[in-house]
Amino acid sequence: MIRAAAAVAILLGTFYFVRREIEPLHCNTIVKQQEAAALPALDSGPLVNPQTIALRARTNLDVINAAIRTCPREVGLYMVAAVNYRLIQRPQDAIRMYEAALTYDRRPEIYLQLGNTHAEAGNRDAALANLLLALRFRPEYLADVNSPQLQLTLSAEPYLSRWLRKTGPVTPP
Amino acid sequence: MTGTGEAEAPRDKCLRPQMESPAERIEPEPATGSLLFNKWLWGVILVGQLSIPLFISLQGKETFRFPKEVALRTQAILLIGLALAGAAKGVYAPRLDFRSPSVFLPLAIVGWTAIATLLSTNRTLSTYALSTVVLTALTFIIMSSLAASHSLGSLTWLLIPAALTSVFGALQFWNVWRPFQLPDNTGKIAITALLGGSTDVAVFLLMPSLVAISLAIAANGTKRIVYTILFLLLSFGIVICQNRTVLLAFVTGLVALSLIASPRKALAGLLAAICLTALVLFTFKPVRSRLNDGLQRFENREYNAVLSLRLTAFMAAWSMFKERPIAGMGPDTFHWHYFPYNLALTERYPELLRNDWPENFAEVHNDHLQILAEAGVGGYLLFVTVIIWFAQPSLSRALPAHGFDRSGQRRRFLRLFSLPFAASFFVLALAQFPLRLSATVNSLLFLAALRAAWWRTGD
Repeated sequence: MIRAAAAVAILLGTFYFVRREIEPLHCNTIVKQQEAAALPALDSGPLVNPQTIALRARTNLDVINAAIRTCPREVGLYMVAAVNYRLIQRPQDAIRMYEAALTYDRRPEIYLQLGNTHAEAGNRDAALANLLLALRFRPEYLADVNSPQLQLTLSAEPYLSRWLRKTGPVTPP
Repeated sequence: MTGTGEAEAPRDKCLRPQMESPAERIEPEPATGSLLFNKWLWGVILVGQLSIPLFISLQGKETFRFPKEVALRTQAILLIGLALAGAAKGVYAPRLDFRSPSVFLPLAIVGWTAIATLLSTNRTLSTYALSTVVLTALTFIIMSSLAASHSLGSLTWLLIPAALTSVFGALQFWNVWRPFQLPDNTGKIAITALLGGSTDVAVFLLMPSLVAISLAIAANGTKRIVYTILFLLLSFGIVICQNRTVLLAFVTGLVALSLIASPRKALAGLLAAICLTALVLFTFKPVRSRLNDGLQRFENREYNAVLSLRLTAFMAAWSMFKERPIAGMGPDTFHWHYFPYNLALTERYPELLRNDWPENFAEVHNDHLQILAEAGVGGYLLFVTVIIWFAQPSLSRALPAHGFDRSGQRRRFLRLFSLPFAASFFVLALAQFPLRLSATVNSLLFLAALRAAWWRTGD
């Protein structure tokens, strides 16, 4: 009787851990859905009602933050969370999300967006430091620097000047 | 014993137990309840072999590799839970000999990974990797505890998904059926099967192809024809993927197999391999183009391009190893460290590492260097030890290789398969990352478990 009870308890525990193990698949789906929703909104400019964007962003953030608690290792969740925070003019929260992403992976895209977000928050030195890291890896990212003033400052870097002489001027986003 | 390895029937039945070799010792049958439970547990393993390579998530951002990682860990948790429940109920009682390499090695790997995790430069990442290693080691131990009572037919469950993958890859290659709405790619770029890319497909097909050819040699009659056809199908899948490293590993495996199967005919086998390689190189245009392109780049000293732009990753991994040679940077930390190492190396060697569109590598594309970088010398010694352990049946003098003993079919298969597998895996790991691909890891675990169960130490 005790053995049977132990076996049942172990099986229940197994199915609990199996369910927990499958949850990252759902987080993987959320990342894809949120990227499809958030990125066009970031680029939409003045054509879409800002209040509509903000409302959608807040709804998205509820879903994303719940997913982050379940799947803290999913870097894509931090990236889409940061995009949504930027949409509702909360750059400090976006910076927090990008820095959390950096604990799991260090990619040039993260440094690029972190630099752009620091620029939006008015942190010029931090913006330059992060953008330089991204541009040292791939100078083509110069076209993705949102601030024209920072783009001009970065163009003066020696290796970027050489690269620009070879490829020509970049088009601002 | 006759020269062919077949045992003579003893005239006196009383002598039979004494003439029985250790290899033929019959394990006492477990009780009925445990027999049924063991069969169920083995069924879970076989379903995993069949389904994990084919498991994808169409709604997810990462469609191919990540779902298989989840499936592999889920399989492990399910097996461990069922085994514990069976042990609690008294229907599962594996006999574990902790002195046996098949128990000692996985525990040593877990132990070293734990040490490397404690000393890791990013414990958050390494802790998850440690949990994966623990799950994988326990999966192997459970698999090997059950495999002893199963026949060569178990390998069919490895060959079925490989055959399906090869067929699917061929249909994509020839633009007959492309269900994933890919852009208008042609040739090898169009190949994903259900694994993700031509590299994943080629790496996955390598081991089953060697299994098929070994079975074809070990079998007779209709089975030999079936396994030969399977081998040709899987070889075709490898060739159309046009992966140089996998092709080299494939040829290495075949050459080693010819040495084992018939040392006298090995020279003929080697010549056949060279002719086959030359035939593929000079008649299959995509492979010939890649070869010509590589030679041209080598002449122009574009070494990074010759190595498919992976030289930076190799040098970064070596730099990480030099910085922490004993325990490495920590399990699963290469991708986290790669970015700053890449910047430092490309600025130090701009011409050597010249690359118009640099890639932020998540893997080294060389499992030897990856293990050195992440787990140091200790981890690499364990890696090499496992490869040598796997090759041991082919090098053993217990039974002649060319004999055919009906009751020793499994051992004959291992004699043929083990060294070719080990040699081809060693070569494959020089420029690919089979240990990072869950479908391939699942196959490797299964093959290693069969090797452990079907060839006891000292037999």
